[in-house]
Amino acid sequence: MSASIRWQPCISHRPDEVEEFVVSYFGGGDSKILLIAGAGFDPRATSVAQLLRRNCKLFPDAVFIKEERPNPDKVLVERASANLDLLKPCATSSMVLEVSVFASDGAVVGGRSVLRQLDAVDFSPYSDVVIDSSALSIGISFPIVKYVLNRAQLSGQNVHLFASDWPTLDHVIQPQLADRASNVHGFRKVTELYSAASVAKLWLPQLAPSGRPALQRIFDEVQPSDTCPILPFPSASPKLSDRLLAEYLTELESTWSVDTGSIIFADENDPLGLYRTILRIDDERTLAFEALGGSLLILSPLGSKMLAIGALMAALDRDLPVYYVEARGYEVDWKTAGKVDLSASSIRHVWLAGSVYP
Amino acid sequence: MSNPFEKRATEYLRDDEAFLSVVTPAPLFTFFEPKAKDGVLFDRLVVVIGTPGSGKTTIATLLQYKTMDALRRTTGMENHKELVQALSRCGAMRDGEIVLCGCRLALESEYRDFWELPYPESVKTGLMHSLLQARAVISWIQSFREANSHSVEEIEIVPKDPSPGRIEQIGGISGPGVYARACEMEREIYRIGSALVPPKLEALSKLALEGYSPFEVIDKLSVRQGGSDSAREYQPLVILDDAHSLHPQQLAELLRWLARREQQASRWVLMRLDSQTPQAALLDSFEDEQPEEAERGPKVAREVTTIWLQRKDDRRTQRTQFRSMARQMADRYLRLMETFNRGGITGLASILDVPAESLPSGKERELAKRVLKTQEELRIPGVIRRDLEKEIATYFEGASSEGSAADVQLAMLQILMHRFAKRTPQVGLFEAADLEPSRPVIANAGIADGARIQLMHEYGRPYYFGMDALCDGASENAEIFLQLAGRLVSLCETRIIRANRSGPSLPASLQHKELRQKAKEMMDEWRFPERRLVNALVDGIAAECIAKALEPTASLGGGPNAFGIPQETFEQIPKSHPRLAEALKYGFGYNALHIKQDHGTKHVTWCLVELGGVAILKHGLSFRRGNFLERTPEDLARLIKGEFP
Repeated sequence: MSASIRWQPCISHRPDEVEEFVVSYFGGGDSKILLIAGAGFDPRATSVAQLLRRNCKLFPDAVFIKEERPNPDKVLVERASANLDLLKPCATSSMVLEVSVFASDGAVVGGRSVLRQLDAVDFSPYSDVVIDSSALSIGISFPIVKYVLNRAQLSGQNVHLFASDWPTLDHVIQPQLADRASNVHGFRKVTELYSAASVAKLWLPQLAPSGRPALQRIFDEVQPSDTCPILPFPSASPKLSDRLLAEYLTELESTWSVDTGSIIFADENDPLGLYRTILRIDDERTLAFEALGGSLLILSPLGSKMLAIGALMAALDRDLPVYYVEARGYEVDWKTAGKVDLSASSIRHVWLAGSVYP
Repeated sequence: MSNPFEKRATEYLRDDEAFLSVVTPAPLFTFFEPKAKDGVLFDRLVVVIGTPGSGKTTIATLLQYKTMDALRRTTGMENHKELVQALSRCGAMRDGEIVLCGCRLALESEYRDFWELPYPESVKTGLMHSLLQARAVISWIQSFREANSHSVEEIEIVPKDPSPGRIEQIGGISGPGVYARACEMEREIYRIGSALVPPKLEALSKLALEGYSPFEVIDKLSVRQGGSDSAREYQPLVILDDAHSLHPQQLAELLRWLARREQQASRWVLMRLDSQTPQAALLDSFEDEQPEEAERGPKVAREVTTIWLQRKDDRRTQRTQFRSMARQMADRYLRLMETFNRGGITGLASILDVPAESLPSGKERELAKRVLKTQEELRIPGVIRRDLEKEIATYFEGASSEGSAADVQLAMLQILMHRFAKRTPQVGLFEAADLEPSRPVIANAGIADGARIQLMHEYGRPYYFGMDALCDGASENAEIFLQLAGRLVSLCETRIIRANRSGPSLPASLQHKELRQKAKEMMDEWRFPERRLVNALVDGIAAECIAKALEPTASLGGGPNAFGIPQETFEQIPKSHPRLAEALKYGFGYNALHIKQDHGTKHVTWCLVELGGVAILKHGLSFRRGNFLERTPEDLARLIKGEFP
């Protein structure tokens, strides 16, 4: 028998439904909204704020988060600044949280830093908290979502997660990786207690172009018993899966020793599909490994924002560890990025907590 | 079929038998045995420093009780005796029995996170030290339970100081009591460290804050043997791996704490080179800290044994030792592959050590014409040419190990003619009899190397092939070696399977092409901090070195592979060019660059910034060390200038 599923049913809206939802839900002026969004260089940074601005009677208050990384590229700084200029008019009042993702010694501290600052924000006046993860790294956005959800459990606030996703754009933004993988702050660690029995660890890395160095570091860190890679299929680029299989051939064959039947196919545009798949695997393994010390799934969402949402929901639902490699900086192929059509709507909404879930 | 060369080292660390089948004891003999002879391995803090892939974790894994126990049980293993011998010489085993109970704690980001807690420093460090001790105690006791199926009741601690107060704070002396107390501490402190929002200082429990110091109390671990009254005692050893993950201040506090004489347990700290500040990493100044830093850390020389893996002294010996270790390792890996086993191929060298293919006859004719043209242009008389050819032939008679192919001889002749012309005044074609160069023109290994490098760049003649080239390309780093070797082994396996026969060696040209391609791929996959700056440094140094190597006179033989910076100006880099220092630190830490200090040449002391093996492979330079271009810190800074705002 399967364990309960937290978001079943789940209220969510596909890109073609989002605008209608925003008009109908936020357009009436009954909601007092707090928007939490990234104010970085990412071209997607302003999409959700502008969507709210277009359709809300009452502009939201906003907390804009600037992820500060050491020695940033001048172009990125300029673009982030321009995005912030576009974001500010979308809010009635706003504050900017400057979050140092790295400490002076290179340690990843972004998750803790952002929560320390967010803890000082008064959430009580708001009926709805909207988190836009489009321009936030998972090391920042995942802890925020968990933190806001924890607060909402006490206050009954509505929590909405929005993400604007263009997979092509993710592929042209290449991270300069930190030297080792870490778990996302606030989420479970692979080794919690030495005194606990050892569990069978199944790692579910999400494959993404040029993600090999990151996944190698995560593999070294989590040392899984088994690996089931997640392949984005179907995806916007029909040949993406083939390219990824070729790119990761050595890992699949030798390093991770993956059977062909162990590959998970996940619709690139369907976070809930991945969420449910992960939960199903968790249920089945929990039963199978019950007598052998238990099972633990480890998630590593790379690449697509949509699939990252699915992984986040699964991690929140089942208290799963999320491992990633933080970016010390980014290299962007602006030439290719300029060709990505950002006008087409690609925003997805997931209603995580509040009045719709009695 | 999976290729064991392509598995990550960590894969082997999970399974003791698999780990023991591939591990080589050479680093223990090289780095640890001398310290064991001095008796400074287990009575004080030992700090082991190395680059990524230098084998720190492998050593830590080998010294774990459960690994040694697996070794003790599997006596039939091929390298069993060698491993037992190494462990015995290091003092971990005696007469085939284990005397040390080692446990490895990886200092993951979890421990670094304690530094971010909103508490006073003493509380933060206290929590971390308590967690480390609790986990060490749990690991020691668990390793007896897992490996030998001893029950926790059979375990007791032998305290150094039997005063009741000290014993009580660690849960008594009985195994169950000590274990329960450690578990309780671990749970409590983990809860604080992993909280989404940390609890307020006032809300911390008394348990988490009260004194807990098993390292000071536990002298030995005593285990009763199989229901009898006889007991065996073990020296507890905690190995704190990846200490570079800690905050520098946290690390200094940890070292100072571990260096205290009150600590009874043996304790080792393993860390990476780039955990040091640029100052320390570049100048080896772990032992020469600034006064203000020294106040925080322990008095290093007196209380700490420092072991540098893959370090500066006697690099020639190190290279030879690494070649031998790499051969052993590769042969062990190769034996795990069925394709090679079936064919009776047990040594990687037998596949790789082949003669270089000479240039195709067309290209050789072209080279001969070019040499003739050079002779004419430089007005070298025929008799001199014959003398030079004789000189080359004599050299090859005395250098039987080197290939003496006609193409190499021609290229050497060309170099010697240029040198001859440079060392003699300009003369007519028939005035040969009186010609005397200012210095004798002789053929030697440097000229031969220069000829091969020039042939590689100008005619595509293979240069990187054979086991030694493979080892040298790895910069004395086991992990890089495995990555490079993996490519060649895969290729060879495919050839064997396709040809349905065993034993074909890999042609030199194929080895050369694949190694360079793999090196390029490895560099493309560099994702470490400041990699753009490091890439700019590597490319810049390489470009200037190639230009020098291709000079007609090959004035530096096979050519340089380094920039030489006057030592005293190099030492100022952390202050004068901080960004460059950062880039050098990471380049050094990740094997992209090597730093050789105090290199004396021409009555000047230099610091050599050398290219790492992978960069040398990619750019096509010589592995021979010592040749460098004289440069300044400003020259290095110029190379990275365009890479940051």
